[in-house]
Amino acid sequence: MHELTITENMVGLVTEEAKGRKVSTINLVIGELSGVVEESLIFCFHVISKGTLLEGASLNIKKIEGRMRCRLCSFEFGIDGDGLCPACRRPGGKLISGKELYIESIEVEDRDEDRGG
Amino acid sequence: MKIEVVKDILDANEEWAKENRRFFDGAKLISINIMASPGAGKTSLIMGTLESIGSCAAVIEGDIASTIDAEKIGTLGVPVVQINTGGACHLDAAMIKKALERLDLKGLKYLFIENVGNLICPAEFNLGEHVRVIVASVPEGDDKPFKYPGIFSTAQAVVLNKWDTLSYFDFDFERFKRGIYSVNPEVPVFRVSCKTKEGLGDWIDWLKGLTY
Repeated sequence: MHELTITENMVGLVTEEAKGRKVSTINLVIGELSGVVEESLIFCFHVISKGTLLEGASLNIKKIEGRMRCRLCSFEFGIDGDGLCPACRRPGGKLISGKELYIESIEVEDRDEDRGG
Repeated sequence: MKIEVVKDILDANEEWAKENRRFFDGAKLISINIMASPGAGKTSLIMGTLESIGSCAAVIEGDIASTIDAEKIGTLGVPVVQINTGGACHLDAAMIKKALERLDLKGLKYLFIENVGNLICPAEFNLGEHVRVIVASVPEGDDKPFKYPGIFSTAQAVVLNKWDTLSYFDFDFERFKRGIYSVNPEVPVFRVSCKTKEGLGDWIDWLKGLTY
């Protein structure tokens, strides 16, 4: 249940960015190897956001697949294989994606001054 | 209105971790975050290591509850602090910062941090450590790196414990290594038995070769 800690951090960061405005959407990027269970994060978010400016906001989660690049032949491949590069059949890949865990952007309700009025 | 944020969710923990790292560097202390599932042998590995390298180390013990591990380590006469997370499944950098205030680290060379037994959550939380070591064990099976690639991908060393029990289990060491190398190709893998002390020498040589 480290999703609770992660959600608390996320709510803190979004609250800071929203500067008192009501938040309608939070766009998140989560890598396959980040160790975060999406359902658990959503559950925690509903609990923590209650009574805050984030309550009712939708969570858009962009998932990023774990990918490796072979250090020897530069072929790119997924992490679900046998550990060898599918192209040259040698070990020695480098992880190039899958550990992402960040807030990409948020959408907030406009205030009068945001509309220039 | 859309606001571009692009902020790592664990930024706050990263800030604490950086502070811990500065502390370790200032104290010329090599810090080692030891992670494993419950029962793999984290405490046994730390104890076996301490018996060999002597009293130049301190230990931070992380558990959900109890002081059992800290008491065991305490019998070796090294400084030890127990953190009880009270349910949390991992240690975070702020907990380590607090624990450091309770340790006299003068003149010591190593700080072992035994994380909460768990192969998922601790991987996400940088404690400011210099190296991460994953302990696995033969009875857990050779498929662990395939099932928990996240944590194995972050390790600077993997220790496979309970090697003396190999003949009792269908454990394929080559398969185990393939699983690790698929996410972390150059990591050293040490086969040890903390019970018989077999293989501990290579692990300790590696440890002694670390510089901060």
